[in-house]
Amino acid sequence: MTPTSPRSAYSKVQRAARLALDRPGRRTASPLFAGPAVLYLLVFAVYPLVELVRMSLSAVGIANLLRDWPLTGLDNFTAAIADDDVRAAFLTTLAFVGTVLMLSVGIGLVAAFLIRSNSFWARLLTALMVFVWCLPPVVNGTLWKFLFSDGGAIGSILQAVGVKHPPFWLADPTLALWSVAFVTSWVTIPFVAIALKAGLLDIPREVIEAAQMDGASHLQVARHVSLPILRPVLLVTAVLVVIYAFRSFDFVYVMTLGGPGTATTTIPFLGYKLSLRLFQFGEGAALGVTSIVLIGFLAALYVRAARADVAAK
Amino acid sequence: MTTTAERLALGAGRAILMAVYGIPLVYLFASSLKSDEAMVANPGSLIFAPDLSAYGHVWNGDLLAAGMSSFQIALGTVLLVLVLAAPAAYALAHHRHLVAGVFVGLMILLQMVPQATTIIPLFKVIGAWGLLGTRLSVVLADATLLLPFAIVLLRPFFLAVPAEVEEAARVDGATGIRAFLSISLPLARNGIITVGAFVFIIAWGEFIYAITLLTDPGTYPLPALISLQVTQYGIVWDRLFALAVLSSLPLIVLFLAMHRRLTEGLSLGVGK
Repeated sequence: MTPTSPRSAYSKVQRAARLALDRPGRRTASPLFAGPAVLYLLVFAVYPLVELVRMSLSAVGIANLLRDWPLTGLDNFTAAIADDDVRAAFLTTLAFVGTVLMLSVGIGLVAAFLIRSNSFWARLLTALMVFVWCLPPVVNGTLWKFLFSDGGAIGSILQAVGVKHPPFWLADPTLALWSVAFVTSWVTIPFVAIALKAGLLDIPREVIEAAQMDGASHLQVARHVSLPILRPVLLVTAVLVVIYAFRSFDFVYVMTLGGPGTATTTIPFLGYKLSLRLFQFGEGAALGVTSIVLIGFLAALYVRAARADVAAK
Repeated sequence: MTTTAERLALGAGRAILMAVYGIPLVYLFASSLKSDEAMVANPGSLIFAPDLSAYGHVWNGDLLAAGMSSFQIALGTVLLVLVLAAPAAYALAHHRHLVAGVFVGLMILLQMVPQATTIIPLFKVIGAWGLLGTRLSVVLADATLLLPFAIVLLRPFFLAVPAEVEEAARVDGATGIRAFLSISLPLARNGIITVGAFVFIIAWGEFIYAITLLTDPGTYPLPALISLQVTQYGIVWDRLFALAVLSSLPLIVLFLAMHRRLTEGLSLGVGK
């Protein structure tokens, strides 16, 4: 392995870590070192979660938020299930997550092959994508809100090439969700591409050379050699994208505020709206608890996928 | 072997992605150099006489206050997260039994809790401590969001410290906190720097906790200020872009200084 090898530094750290795990344990740090972090998370993460569950089972409004919460059992959940907005938000979220998943993993996979080499253009493209990932979400959201606006850049370009009436990307109820999903993917693709590129670089060179020796073209190698080896990494990344898209809130907030109408009101945004705009804390909490259960299910999938990834190495 | 067709496809693919990522960025910077008039006349055009009037309009006391707020919140979060995460990751690297595995699993789960769902209970906890409206409350909330992520990411860096080195230190009489501070922590500094950079980037860009926990817009950090303006009617785009570019400056500097490290970090599975 030469020093200029593009193999990711992190895979080196991971390998060293794995080697360390294989050696008999002579590490004796006290578990007390984790004490402050555990204490902190108990106060600021676990206790609020317990409160969230309690809130979801109680009648909580603006009047009694800081006082007693009368228990009402599953009323908030039944109210949420009967709420058309909630049902619509679930479908919207499903469409949103599905679109982001397909765009991010599809384009991200192609991008991983495009940035794999160490050439100038591959490195420039990588840098450009990482730069976009680093920018604050509000800045990216603002940028695309402008590009999508009436008379904005995309409309102007379309008009210049002869489209008389460019679509209203964010004001059209059917287009708005796809537009926000596109922008979300725009920010997720760099992460997917780089994670998959690291996976591609971990494929032993000999395997690829052997296939090439047998006369396989680059496309054939990519399809029949790289892709199958990449599958576990692909799965882990896909689950992370789903979780990210499911939680995603920033772009909806900045670009559409859930509109037009409720066209882009996803579950996280509806939860926010119920709690912080309509002060229906109980129902908002019920929605929150439901999302966390769903996320927990996704997390279990993630752990399984990650295990398979480690086992494959 | 690479055929001409494959080389063409590779080139075309890169050119398309370059355009999809490059052109919006050109608009981000170019639009901030437009005057109000030029922006209204033709918002989509890139041919105009650049001037700094938009920057002149947004450069005032409010902006500097928001910038200060952003730095206090982001640096405070980095400090708090690293102080708590480094020893925790160190302890986790030293324990392999079930408890450690369950702990890592819990950290991953906590990291996945949707941010918007826990705002109200967090609001209540922070309110009970009398901290509502202070920047410290945003630091505490951001740290809650980022601590699990930092612990999971730092653990392999502590695992990579050779056990022999730690054992040698122990033979020499370094125990407990001294062994951690003088041996393991310096050897894991690559991880500390990378994780610190990611915590800074995410804390710098965070605005949902800021707009919820801060009661006075005068104490808002930069992204919260942008979120306030971008959701109103009658946006003056060139000024908003000037604000957006200024808000991104520290991240641009960070990117230029350590983009290789950030690229490597992204392959660790960092989700925003």
